[in-house]
Amino acid sequence: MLFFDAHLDLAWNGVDWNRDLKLEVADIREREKALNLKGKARGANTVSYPALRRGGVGLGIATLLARLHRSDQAPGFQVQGFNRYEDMAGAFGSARGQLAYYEALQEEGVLRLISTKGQLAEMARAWNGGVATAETPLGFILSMEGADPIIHPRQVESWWNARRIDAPWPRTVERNAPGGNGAGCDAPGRPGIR
Amino acid sequence: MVLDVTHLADQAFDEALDKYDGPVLASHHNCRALVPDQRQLTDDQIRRLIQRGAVIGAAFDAWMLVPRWVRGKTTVEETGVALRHVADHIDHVCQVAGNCRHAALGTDLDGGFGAEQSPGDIETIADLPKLVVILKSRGYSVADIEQIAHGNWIRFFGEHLPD
Repeated sequence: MLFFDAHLDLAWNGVDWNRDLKLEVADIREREKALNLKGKARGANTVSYPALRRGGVGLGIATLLARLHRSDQAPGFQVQGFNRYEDMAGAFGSARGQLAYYEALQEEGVLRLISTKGQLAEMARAWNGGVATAETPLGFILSMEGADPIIHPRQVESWWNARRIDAPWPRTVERNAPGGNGAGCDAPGRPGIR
Repeated sequence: MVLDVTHLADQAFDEALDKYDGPVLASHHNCRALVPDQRQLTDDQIRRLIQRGAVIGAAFDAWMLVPRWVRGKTTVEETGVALRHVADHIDHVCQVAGNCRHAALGTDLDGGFGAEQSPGDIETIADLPKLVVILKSRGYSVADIEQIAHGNWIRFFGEHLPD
C-alpha cells in the first residue's frame, strides 16, 4: 500500500537535530545514545529515509520549520515563545537553510521535490502500490510550517512563485497555537493569507 | 497557494477561513470530539473544512490521540496508545463527512517526539501498513483505505498544485 504522509519535519531533523536520515532508525538511535545526547526523543526517533521506503511512504509533505531547537532541552514548542527566533530574519535564514537541505538531498537522488501537478502524477506512478525501484526517490511537496520566515507579506509571492511552499500559515501560529491558546491572526499575519 | 489550518487556534481558524477563499487543508490534525483541546478540530470545523474540499491528515502524536496525556509524564504503556486510536480519529472524520474522501494521514512522527510519545505499535514509520489491517477489521474496503492512505492527498494536490 502506498502511503502519503502529509506532515514530516525532515529538514528540521536533518539540520537542527543533526540526524543523518539516510541511516536506519536503529542506527540513528544508537548514534545518539553513543554520543550520550540527552533530551526528549533522543535515541528514540521513528523516521528515516530507509524506514519510509520500507513502509511504502513514497509521497508526502515535508516542512520548512523555523523552530529553534536546543538539543539539551525539551522541544521548546511546549513553552510559550521558547522556540521562536528572536528576529524574523533568523527564521528566514533557518527556512532557507532547510530548503537547501532538501535541494542537497534531491541532488543526491534521495528526494524529489514536487511542485507541479505533472511531477505529482509522475511520482505517484513511480510509487504505485508503495513499491518502487531502488533508484526511485521519495517525493515531497514542501510546506512552510508557521509563517515566521515570511518577513513581509510581499515575500509570500516570492516563496510561492519559487514553488517552494504550499501552506504558509498566518504568523500567529507558532506563537499562539500548538496547544491552541485562543488567539487570532496577528497584524503581520493577516495580509499573508489574502 | 494552499493554506494549512493545522495549529490555528479557534479564533485564527475563523479569521483564516473568512479571509482566504483558496484551497485549505489540515495537514496533521485530529478530532476534538475524541481529545479535548484547541489543537484538535471540532466537528463543526471538520464540516466547514469538508465544505471547502479539504483533506485532513491524522496525526500520530500520542497527546493528540488519547485524552489527558501529559507530555513527559504519561506513558505509552499506561494509556495503551496505539494505531487503533489513529483509526478512531480517521473514522470520526469519515463519519462526519459521510464518506472516505477527506480523511488521510499526516503522521508528524518526527515532530519533536519519538517512540515515547507515539503509538505503541509503531517502532518506526515502516510500521504504517499495520493501520491497513486495523481499518479493514473495521469494515473499510481496500478502495476506502487506498483513499485514506494516499488517494485523497493525491487528488487534492492534483487539483491545487500549479500546472
